[in-house]
Amino acid sequence: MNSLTYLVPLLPLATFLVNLLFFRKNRHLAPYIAVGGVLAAFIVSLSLAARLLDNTAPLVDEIRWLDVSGGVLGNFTIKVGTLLDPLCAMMLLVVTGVSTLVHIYSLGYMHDEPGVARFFMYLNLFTFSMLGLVVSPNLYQMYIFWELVGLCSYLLIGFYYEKKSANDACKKAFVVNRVGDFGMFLGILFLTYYLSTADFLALPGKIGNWPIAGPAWLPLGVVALLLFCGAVGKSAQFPLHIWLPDAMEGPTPVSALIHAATMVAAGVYLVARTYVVFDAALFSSVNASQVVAWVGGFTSIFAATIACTQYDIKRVLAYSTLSQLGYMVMALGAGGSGVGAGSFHLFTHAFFKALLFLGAGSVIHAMHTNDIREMGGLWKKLPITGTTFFIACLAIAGVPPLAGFFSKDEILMALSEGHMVKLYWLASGVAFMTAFYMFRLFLMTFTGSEPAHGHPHESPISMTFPLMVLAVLSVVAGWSSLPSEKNFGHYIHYERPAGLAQQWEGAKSLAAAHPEAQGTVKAHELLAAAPLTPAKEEAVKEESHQFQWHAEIWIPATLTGLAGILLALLMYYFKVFSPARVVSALGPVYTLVYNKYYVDEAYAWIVHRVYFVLSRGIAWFDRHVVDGFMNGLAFVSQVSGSVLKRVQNGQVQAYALVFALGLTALLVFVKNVLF
Amino acid sequence: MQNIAFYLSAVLILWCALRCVSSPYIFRSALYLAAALSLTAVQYVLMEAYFVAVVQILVYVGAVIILIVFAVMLTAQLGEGNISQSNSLALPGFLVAGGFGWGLVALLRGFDWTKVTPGPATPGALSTDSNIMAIGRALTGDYVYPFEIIGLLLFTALIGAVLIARKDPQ
Amino acid sequence: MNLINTLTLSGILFAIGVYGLVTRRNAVGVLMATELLLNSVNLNLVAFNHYLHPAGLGGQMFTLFTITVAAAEATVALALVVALFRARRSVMVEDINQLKW
Repeated sequence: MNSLTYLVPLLPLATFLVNLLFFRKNRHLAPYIAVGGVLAAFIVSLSLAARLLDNTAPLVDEIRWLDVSGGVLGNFTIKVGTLLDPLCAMMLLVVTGVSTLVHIYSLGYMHDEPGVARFFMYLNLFTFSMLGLVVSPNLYQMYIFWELVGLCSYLLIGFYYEKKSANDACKKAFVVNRVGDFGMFLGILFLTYYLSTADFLALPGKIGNWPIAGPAWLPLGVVALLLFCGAVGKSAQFPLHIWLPDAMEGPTPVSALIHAATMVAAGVYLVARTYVVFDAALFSSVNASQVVAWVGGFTSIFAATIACTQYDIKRVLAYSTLSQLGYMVMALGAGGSGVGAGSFHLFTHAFFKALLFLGAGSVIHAMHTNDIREMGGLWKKLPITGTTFFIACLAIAGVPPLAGFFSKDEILMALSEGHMVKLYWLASGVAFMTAFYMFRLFLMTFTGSEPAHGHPHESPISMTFPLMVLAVLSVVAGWSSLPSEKNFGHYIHYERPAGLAQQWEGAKSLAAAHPEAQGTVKAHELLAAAPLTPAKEEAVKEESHQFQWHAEIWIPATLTGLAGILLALLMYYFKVFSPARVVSALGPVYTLVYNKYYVDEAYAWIVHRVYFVLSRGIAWFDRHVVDGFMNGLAFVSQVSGSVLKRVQNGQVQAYALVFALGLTALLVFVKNVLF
Repeated sequence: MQNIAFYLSAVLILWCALRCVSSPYIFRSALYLAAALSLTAVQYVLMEAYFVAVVQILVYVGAVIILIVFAVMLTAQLGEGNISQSNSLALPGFLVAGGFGWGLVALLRGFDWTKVTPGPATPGALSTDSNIMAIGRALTGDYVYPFEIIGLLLFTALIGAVLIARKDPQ
Repeated sequence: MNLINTLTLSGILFAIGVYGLVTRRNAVGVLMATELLLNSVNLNLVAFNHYLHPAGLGGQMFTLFTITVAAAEATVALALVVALFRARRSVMVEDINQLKW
């Protein structure tokens, strides 16, 4: 055993099993057991992270599971185990920390629910699945946990299973995720086929085995995009974003844990882990990174515009999550330095988004409604909730010195270094809108005139304690990226493997020079056969993953955020412009955005008019042709049987006659053929 | 002289056999069978198988025919004389049997019997023995096993027949 | 040669036996036809013995045993017929037709 990493996922699993077997109906004891499991996992994560502070070498524990050596893959085994490196440790801390806080919060929030024991069981199962995903050392184990996480999301979204809307939402989430997972699995299979490995640590070394010419050739960028499909599904990028807003049907702690902080970050984690594939794809004929960046960028602005129009507090936050996820994905597409930036934004976003959701839950708990038009003036009634919510809004708007400022800045820096000018301006626009709609939400909920009905009161300590912890984290988490020896970027960054550029460029030029290359030409094989050209090495700027106080970046970014806040204040606090006038001025554009650009309707049309028509046709074929054939066979058997059975008429002499007939035939045969 | 005996008995055997299988009265069938079997004994005599001829008369005519007659009497049904004794398979039966017979005869006649090598002499038999002496020596010499087993078989058949034919004990 | 004539005789006798086997309605009639079959075989055996292997006795021995077995078989068969008659009051073969579909 190299490390105790395996304990982290297994502790919540253990409490899940204990609850499942013994305390399923016990609503008093089961929640505390669940909280204990996750808290223990958090403590173990802390010790593991502390261990890595000085020595960042990855620690791997694996056992062989399935040996498929021999055959076309050569020496390939699927292993299960754990991998512990700084990125993983960061994710462990985030997942266990936020999960613990959500568990504690749920003690108060779900107290009066009938299915509270079931809820905590599902939460534990989810925590186990997410942690298993994070510690996976190879793509196959990650895929298993990927699906498990999807399952837990299904269970938790559909927690209120008596509501039709919840049922629809959980099915939608699962099916849409499945579409993305299909692409991801194809990507995993191709990767395994060409590289004979699926281990994350082995990928940089083996990426040179990718064929760049020959009959079995597939551009590496295509495989990178297939893997990215999984991220599109799980991290809700366009066009598979449709499940996330509907997932708000689940209880609010679920939204906080799964759909803000952890599960949706799994896609980002996947890309970060396999980033060498995307990096090498820069040299292949398909530039996957561009696609990734634009998908992320489009998603973020698409979602930000919708968030400006929604009235359901959870929907606004859901679209905000979509937008921030788009930010992270955009950063990943920007290049090597973007990996660190995206991971850092994942880290900070987990805290303030979870805080926002839990705060929203507190508000919903107090007001028994989700609609912000029915709220107002809650600042005095819910002081702790209001204050922490305000801190979170400042953080997400990117106001220094809170956490969001640092992570957004790093993303903008990565975009500028990657020379993605259009995306840079797009990101700035999104930052403006983010600040606007978040403060619109805050002002409409907490300021203004008080609602006519309801007696809102502050939530119990079990709910406000996590809010306070998360508020503190939202303030200080960003400081881990300040320039220093051992800041966030020191531990979590992407390093291009030495010689990668040289290898690929050289191989490509050689392949172009030898078009008659037979078979599958691998990048490193070509190089072995010919001398190396002088290095055209693009040195990864090692220092770019650390936060720098580049004035040309942070000042405009901060000003953009403040401008958004100002606009929101003008519209919703000082009431200088009336929102209704803006709505009528925008007219049909507003209707389009308010209805989420009719994407759901488009999908529904495709499913009903195209997919179901095909399905009906295939079902007809299956019922009538395939089954018909089988039934026909049976029918033929039956009919021939009932005809042939008349031979057995019970008359022994008839049987004897047939014997004699056979004998005669035999006789004739003997006479003519043998003699 | 032998030829006349052979052909006469052959024709008579065939005629009796035909009457046996086509007679509407079952009792007459039995009698015709008896005649056919007796004439077969004549054939055996002509082929110098004297013991076999005697056994044929004793066993077949003396025992089996009696048995058949007993059975006919025990299973006699009233008004039997008017029922046809041939069932619906008469024509196909005739065709098949005719074809079979024709094929068999053609096969037997077409074979070149002169090419058959003569078999070994009966071990233990002396050249001066009469037929019955030779058979006696063989039965108690080389063929003693089948002889004993045949005895066992007859014993079994006896018990079996008794068991099958007896009335159920009430 | 007389062998061929004897063989012809036994062949025709066998065919007559087959015809009777297939055609007779009374069970005892079927048994009589069976006896004809066995007899034709015996004729054959003795003929082969006499004309082809005059030095040996194999054919005659065989015939003796065949006659014995035929007698035993006729015994059992007629016992069956009697038992059947007792059960069904009929010895017509076409009435014994339960072993069918």
